[in-house]
Amino acid sequence: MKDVRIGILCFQGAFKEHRYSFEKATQLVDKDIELKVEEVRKPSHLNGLDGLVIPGGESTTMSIFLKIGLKIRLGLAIGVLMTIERVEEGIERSHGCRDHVRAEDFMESLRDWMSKKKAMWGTCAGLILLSNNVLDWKNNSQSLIGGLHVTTVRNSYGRQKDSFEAKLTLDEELGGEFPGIFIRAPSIKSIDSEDVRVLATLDRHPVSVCQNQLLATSFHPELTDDYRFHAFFINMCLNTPSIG
Amino acid sequence: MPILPGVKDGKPLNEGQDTVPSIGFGTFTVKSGLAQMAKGGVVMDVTNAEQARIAEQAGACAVMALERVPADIRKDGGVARMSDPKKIKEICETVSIPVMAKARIGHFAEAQILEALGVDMVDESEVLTQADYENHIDKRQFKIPFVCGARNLGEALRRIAEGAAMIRTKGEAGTGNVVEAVKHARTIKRQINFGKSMDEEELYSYAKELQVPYDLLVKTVEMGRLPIVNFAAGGLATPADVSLLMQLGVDGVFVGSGIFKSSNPEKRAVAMVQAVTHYKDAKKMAEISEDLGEPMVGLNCDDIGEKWSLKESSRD
Repeated sequence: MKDVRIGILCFQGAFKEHRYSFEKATQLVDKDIELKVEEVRKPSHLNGLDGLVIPGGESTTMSIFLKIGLKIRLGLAIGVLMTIERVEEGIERSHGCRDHVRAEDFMESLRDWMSKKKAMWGTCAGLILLSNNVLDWKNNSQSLIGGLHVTTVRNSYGRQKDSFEAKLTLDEELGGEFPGIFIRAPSIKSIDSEDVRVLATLDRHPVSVCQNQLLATSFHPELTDDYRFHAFFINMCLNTPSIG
Repeated sequence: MPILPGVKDGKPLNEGQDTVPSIGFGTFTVKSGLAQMAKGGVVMDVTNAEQARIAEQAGACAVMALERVPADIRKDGGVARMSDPKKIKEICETVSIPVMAKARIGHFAEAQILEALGVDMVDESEVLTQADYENHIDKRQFKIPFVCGARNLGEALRRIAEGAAMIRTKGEAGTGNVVEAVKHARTIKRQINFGKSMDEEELYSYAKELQVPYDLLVKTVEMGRLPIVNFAAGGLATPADVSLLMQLGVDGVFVGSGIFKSSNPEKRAVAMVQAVTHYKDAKKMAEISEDLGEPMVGLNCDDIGEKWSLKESSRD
């Protein structure tokens, strides 16, 4: 019996659906495992996880939760310049209000955690956050987690009226078809490294990729009752180094 | 380095027609999927592009475009209608998060216009003046999802039967008073629990009493919650209000007048977004709630002339 701890980033989005799918997916995993699915809302929640899911939701919204830590750092810098007693005031100035997550730097903790080569899976908005390059037809830039050598396009298929369901073709190892649900989905415009493996395609275009310990899907397996991607990710978690 | 055909310099794919697959647009899965992606988020009422930008930067998961915020509709009176398409287009161009817009109850032509404008979700809303005494919009005819208000389980399930992909409590919009939203959230919860205590014969009678399809009621009782995403709306003005409703089991919140009628909209908007994520953590809620400036001036629900939550088809 092996323990597997998977965290789901719970800032915003469909995280309960992921939890449910993981619980179902344990039946599809060959090995004897004890799966724990945990909610991640603070940096300390990352401790000891074998894998982390960045669920679908709004990438802009989630990136704001990630960015708040950066604002604190700026606040500290201003504070230090003004003598240390006024750090708090510096934080206040940098954010317009006393920061809500003082002393918590999510991005930094996340990068730290990722450096241990733990498994990560981004669905939809999560794919955007994991991509090294993001093309946007609007000008607002987002803070990205990065790591995955692909270029993605946000809201690539259009607005909600253009959202759709379609059958996907899986690669040989996974085999067969998969029900793809695309909600204001991003697309993968290009694959920028030979390390990236295509797991699923739609009309021959990649819609799911993996690269070492990173997995990404532009669609939502958590909204279907097909749990193969969740099982695939559990297996990825089993293969990551367990440093704890 | 393969470049996919059909995606041009980051422009949306729907501009070219060659790559969009021909099956499965506007299915119920796709409609309710958008609501599922909004979970754990705040939808903020905005009247123009500038407010929409503030909402997006604060972390709203969607914005709701309307002509006037509910508090102003209460103050000014008159007929409240769908927003000017020009305003909606400006908002759609300004933000990358989903844009929702309100249509009057029963006014399917307004909803058709909103769909043509590319709005991501329509709110068939009691906040606007009612357009049909007897009927709600047949929401199944649309490719885009609808959210509808409900005071109780009967209303919620009737709206779902008509094709709504998301439900919200009605509350009492424009008051800054959370009491009605609490009442509606608790009523829905209690009625589902009541159904759970029933055997099949009793559920038949209960379906008749609630005037809802039997199968839908059975499914709801089995799941122990509404079968689609359920948000709170109508009078939420503080982070604590958000936490209260989240703890009563809703999936997210709508905030209307509460933000742009407060003294510091930017700060309050950020706080409301943080609250929906950290609602269980009282210590964090204390930090979030601190020094937000004056909230909107509230109204007691007994003092208001008209209860909007009573707007409903007369046959309901």
